[in-house]
Amino acid sequence: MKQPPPTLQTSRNWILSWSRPLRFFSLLLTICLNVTFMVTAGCKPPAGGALAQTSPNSNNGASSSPGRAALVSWQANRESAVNSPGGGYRVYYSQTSGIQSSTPFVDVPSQTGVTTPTTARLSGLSAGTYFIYVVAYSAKNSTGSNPSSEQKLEIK
Amino acid sequence: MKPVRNFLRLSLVLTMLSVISVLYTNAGPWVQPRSNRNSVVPGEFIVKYRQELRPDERADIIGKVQAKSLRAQTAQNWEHIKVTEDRSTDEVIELLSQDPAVEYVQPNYRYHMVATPNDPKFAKQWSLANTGQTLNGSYDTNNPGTAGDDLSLSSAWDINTDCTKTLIAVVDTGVNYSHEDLLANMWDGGANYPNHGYDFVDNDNDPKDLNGHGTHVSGTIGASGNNGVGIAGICWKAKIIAVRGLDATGAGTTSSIVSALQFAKDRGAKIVNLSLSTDVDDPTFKSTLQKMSDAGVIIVVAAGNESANVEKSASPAYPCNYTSIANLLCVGAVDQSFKLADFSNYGSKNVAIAAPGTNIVSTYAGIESVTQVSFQSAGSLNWTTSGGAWAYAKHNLSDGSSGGSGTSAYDMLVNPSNWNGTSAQYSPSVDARAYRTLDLSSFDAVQLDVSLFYDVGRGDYLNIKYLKSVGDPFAAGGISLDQISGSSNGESTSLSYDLSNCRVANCSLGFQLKSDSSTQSYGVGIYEVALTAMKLNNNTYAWLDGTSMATPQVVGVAALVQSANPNMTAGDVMQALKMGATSLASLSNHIEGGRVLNALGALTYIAPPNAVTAVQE
Repeated sequence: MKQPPPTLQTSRNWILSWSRPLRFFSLLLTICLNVTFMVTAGCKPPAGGALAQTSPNSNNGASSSPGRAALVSWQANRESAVNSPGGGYRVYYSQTSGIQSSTPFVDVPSQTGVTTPTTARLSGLSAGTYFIYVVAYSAKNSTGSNPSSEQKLEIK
Repeated sequence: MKPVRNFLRLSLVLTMLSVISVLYTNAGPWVQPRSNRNSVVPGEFIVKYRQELRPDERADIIGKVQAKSLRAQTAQNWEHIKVTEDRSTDEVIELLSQDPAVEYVQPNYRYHMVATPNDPKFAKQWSLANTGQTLNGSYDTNNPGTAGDDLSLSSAWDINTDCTKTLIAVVDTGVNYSHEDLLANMWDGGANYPNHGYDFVDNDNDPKDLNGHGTHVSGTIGASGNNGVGIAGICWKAKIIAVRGLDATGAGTTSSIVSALQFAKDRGAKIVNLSLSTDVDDPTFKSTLQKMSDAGVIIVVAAGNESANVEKSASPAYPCNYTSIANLLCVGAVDQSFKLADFSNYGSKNVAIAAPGTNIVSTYAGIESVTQVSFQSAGSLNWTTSGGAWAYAKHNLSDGSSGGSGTSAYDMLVNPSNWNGTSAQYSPSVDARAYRTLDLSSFDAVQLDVSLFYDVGRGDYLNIKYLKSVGDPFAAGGISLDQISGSSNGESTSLSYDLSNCRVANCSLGFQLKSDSSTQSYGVGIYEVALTAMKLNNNTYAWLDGTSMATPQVVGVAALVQSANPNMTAGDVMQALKMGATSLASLSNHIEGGRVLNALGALTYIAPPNAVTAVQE
């Protein structure tokens, strides 16, 4: 599958997300976050060629990402810190069950003045079964919650 | 055996505990920046380069955003810069990140030392910060304890110290709401109800504590923190409703406790501290607690101090055993090394969490003094008697022999005069009285403790009365404290009464043995009459042990969590307390999951997201 080009929007999102030091220290060396990171840091694309693109409200949706797409949504967490600076969600998706250090995810960081979004779009997916989990995190708990229950999605 | 009561006696649960901070589930070991809006230095950034660059190369890069270098760590390839023109954070990061030599850019975050309050007694509060300090309390085991075995509050306070968004009710002996370290954190009902709670013992709107227990509990929850006075509460700021359901002796009734709980609920309390316990399964009490839980009120209760397994039918403890009530949390006590306190009740299913309960220093109602009332003067009974038979005697209680000396020899007030508890009997058809005058005028509350042996036959009674003047308390005007019949079965028994109503210069206290004409028995041997007097003041602090002292630690942390997370339900807070706790295998046989309260763990716990759905577009 052809790699989608990195976009400015994605790049900024990535940098903003990595600018939070907890995630920086804990994840920098082990996890490939998204397209831009994989390109700039030389990581391999995730298994299955799926490329998480975006958090909601960004502009790089299906139009800039070839392949199939899915929309993941969940109920907002009630912890204030998840909806505060440094908080957010990670949506993990993989064609292998479970979360490994290499499992790709879409970061959905908190946004100023509003509740952290509770949807994420996964694009660039290929046909097959995907296992999806959502993890909530905060500035003081970068590891985050236990994963949500596993959601199985058949991409056709 | 205690005499039959016409009311339920709810005993205060005095025990101590200590908290563990070894692990918490979700937090990393690194220092973390504050996450509020003041967490970054405006206009300052850290630029990480992919490789070591020459100064001119670095200057070219940061020149794109008109920044100057404040510090360059060339060995680590990062540079601290300050932007000299007005540019947004996003813009600076975006522009610099476009340079291929830049690995990433981040704001220059502010870091703060973990919060340490300036309260002078903070260094003695091992539950908040255990440094391995040796304490002046009475619990000797693991004193000093293990440094770090605490609630991790120094770090937790970096997240929240303010509980004022959550009303907390202390249903107890009342609160000395005038105490220097509590006054600022007491609830009041505003212009329409300018009081700090209610007194369901005396049925008035003054819930002043005449015992000390409720004031101690309240200080642990919410003594003003960082005010340079006394101790630090777990909540530095709080709103505590004082609801008096227990009297000066620490005893209450179904009516007083249930009324107090209802008051707390009606006034909007979200968390209730219930540091009391009984072995009676009281349906009215249970029903009230169930309704509170259903209304989203968290009820934190003490496990009790009998060193017993509450799950055994021989040693039940309520409300601890009301495990079907969803928002009720039962608390055991641990010591300064996170070992189960020797007095603490336990139960691996019913006791949901442990918290520090030994050598706990906190606010107190005032100065307590204990006076032993003598029975003799120069070897003669110094009580006024009528009807004969009452006498002064000296008995060796270790072997039952009369006379004797040393620590086992007790002065006693006895009836019959040749009392031995095993053979000598009192006379039929007697009305024998013994009384003496006490000056109780200088105290704010007085508890009477009577320790005795008794065998009083059917139709015969031992009466205890007082009169608020000189004279015979069994004459007109005397007020009854108790009427006892039956037998203590050879065991010594201690009874407590609130004598505060007799705080006059001439309080006449008396015992009356009244028998009918039928069967007699072995009579009464009183070996202690003690007065515990309370003189209220606003600057006393005291050391106590008990699961009563562990309970408010949980309440305080629950309030920190609820206040920091106003959208959380009671169930969410309960979950955070449990899941954020430290789990110790050494406690797992006594406490559910081996849990010990951890404030940082509770405050940083995040529940797994739920209701996740995924659809292909």
